[in-house]
Amino acid sequence: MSNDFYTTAILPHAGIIIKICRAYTDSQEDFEDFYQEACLQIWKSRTAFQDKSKWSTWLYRVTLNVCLTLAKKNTKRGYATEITNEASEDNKAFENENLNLLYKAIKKLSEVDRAIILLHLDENPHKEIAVIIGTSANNIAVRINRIKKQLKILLDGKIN
Amino acid sequence: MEKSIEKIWNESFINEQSLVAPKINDLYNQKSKSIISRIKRTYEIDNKGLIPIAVLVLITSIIFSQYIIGVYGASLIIGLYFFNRNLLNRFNTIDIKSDNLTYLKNYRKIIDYVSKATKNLFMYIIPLVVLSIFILGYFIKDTSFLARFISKDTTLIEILGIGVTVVFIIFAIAMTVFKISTKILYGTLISKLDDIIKEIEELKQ
Repeated sequence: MSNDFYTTAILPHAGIIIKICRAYTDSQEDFEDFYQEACLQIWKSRTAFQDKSKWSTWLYRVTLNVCLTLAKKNTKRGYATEITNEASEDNKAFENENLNLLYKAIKKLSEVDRAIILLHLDENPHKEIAVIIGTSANNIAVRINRIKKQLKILLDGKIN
Repeated sequence: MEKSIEKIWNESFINEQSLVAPKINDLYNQKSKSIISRIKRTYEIDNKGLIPIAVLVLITSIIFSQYIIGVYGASLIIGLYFFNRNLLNRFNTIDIKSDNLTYLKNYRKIIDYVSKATKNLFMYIIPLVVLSIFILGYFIKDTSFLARFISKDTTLIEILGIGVTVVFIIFAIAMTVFKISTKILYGTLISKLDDIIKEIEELKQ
């Protein structure tokens, strides 16, 4: 992979990858591993990209597939660094207390619900979310309402 | 929490371009950390290891003048190498850009296929190979390694009896190793995958 591909095709959309990877990881090491793996898989499958879908949609798919299947290893390591404001000091966005709470709540959801709500929060239409997940738009709409209620309960109780 | 989750999200990521990506070094030469890629890499290394073993079997058989059994054994090992190589090609069929459900299902299928093929190898192929070496040894018993252990008037049935006993011992050891390694390698992953697939399928209905 040339540096050009990373700089021109991945880096401008790094935000999507960062947001997803953060929702599936609990430590800084895992976060960096997942991010790297997602970039690697995006590069490996780049030739299969067709203009039929948006590049960002395609990134969502690959990144979610990576996150859903990447083996978790830090649960076995005692020294894993938790993702804290300090650990992600490069990203001012994550210093926001409300956002941190929201991420904590999102992490309480199942893997599938996490994917759905992340796509919804990033303003993807239900139809597109359905295509990415592999289900129907109607079911996505119902599920989003349920997830939002679940998140509200968690946030009102400040997570537990 | 007064703000809606959408509002919190949008306010936090007003300027998405400002998100800083983790530093990645030499990404282009990085190895994949996904379990499928790791399994594939391990298989590839293990499989390539069969070639020097086949050569070693051949050389040893020449040293001990067991030409026929040596050639036969080496051919079987090379056959195993091609069997494994064929198995590895399955990993290349997973399309990471497909939708989540399709991807996870394909992923699961490959794990099942590899697991089943390995089980069949342990259950049928290896015992048959061991048995066939005993049968071959019987027909060339004057010159084979068996000459040291059996008398000239030993019958084929008796040789088969010894062969079957050895096969059962190998089978028991192989199945135990297979079950333990499968549980260690795939146990957690399979149950996690099944849960996710089940959830998306429920969502689909």
